[in-house]
Amino acid sequence: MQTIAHQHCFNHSQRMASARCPQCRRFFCKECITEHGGKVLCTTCLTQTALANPDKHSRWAVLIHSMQFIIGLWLLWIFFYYFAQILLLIPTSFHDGSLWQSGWWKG
Amino acid sequence: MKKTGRKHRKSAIRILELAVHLLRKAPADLLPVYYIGSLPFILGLLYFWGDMSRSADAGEYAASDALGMALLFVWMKWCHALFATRIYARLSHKLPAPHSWVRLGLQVSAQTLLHATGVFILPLALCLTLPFGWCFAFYQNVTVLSQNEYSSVRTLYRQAWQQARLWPSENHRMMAVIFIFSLIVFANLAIAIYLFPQMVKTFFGYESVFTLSGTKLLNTTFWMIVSGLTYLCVDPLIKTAYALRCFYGLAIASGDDIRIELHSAIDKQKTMDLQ
Repeated sequence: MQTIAHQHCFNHSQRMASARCPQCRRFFCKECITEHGGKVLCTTCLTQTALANPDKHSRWAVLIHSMQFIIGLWLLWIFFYYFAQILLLIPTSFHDGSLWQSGWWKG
Repeated sequence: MKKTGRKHRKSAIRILELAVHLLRKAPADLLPVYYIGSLPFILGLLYFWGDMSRSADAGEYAASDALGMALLFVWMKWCHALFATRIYARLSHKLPAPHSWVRLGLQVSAQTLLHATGVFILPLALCLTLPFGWCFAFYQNVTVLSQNEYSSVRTLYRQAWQQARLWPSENHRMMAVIFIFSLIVFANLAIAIYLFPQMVKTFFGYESVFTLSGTKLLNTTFWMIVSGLTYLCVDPLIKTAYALRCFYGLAIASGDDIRIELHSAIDKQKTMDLQ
């Protein structure tokens, strides 16, 4: 079991380690690590993470996010449309609260 | 990890207390953001409900009305995300990320897609009873965690689900307390709205259609109005409570709670030194 107390920085061998990168599992000193998205990462992993998400500003990203919005809106439209159809099927006497006075259960 | 999670766990009552405290101390411009989004949707829903349940030719324009409701829902969810972002920023003592068109687009698309699945999954989960707690927490977390800059749908989904699975017993306890509280609010509002015309008649002698209608006032529109008002009263508290849950959940890895406590301790010490 490797404990941080006995480790040295991967980049600076003379310095004591202060954190361990959760991605590459290497130990680093305070200068070699940084916080990103709630995680403490080393600079190499941070660069790789940034490169792994190339679609952030690309044209494809715009298309993908537009599609996501359209699919979401379409699903919502389906939900409200069929909700309206159910409401249309329910008799008006139910909405008025007079259904219980009509004696419909007597036949 | 489990032991760490247990150690950092906050009780449901403590979370709700903190949520109430946070809302009471919130600046004046926080709640309007929530209501600017929610009020149009609730009013739209009441109109939609009334129109579809009574109008003879409502079927002809049901499709366009449904589109209007879908757009109002998207607007409401985006405002909720903005409200939750500000709550989260207050909790973490960090300024919210600056507004940008890219961020806005990503937030709207992710919120629309994920919450659109919620309108189908949540009623289904409620019918199955058992998964409802996790599903409810998941959709609340989707709103709260939208503050992450450039977070894709996949990242948002993963983070929200991870937080929804955290401390399930506390989540269910919190939901039970919120449910009882909502029932009390609902009953209070129903009684108040029902008795208001009677009170006006008693004090001012004004006879209205509501006093003449008697029990006919208790139609489905009346129950929808009471439900809508209950939602407007209780939902900001729910969002704040889940923002707190996410904050403490994410703090297990980030240590944000310790950082804030440390900063406030240093500030207190500085103030004492000056005195």
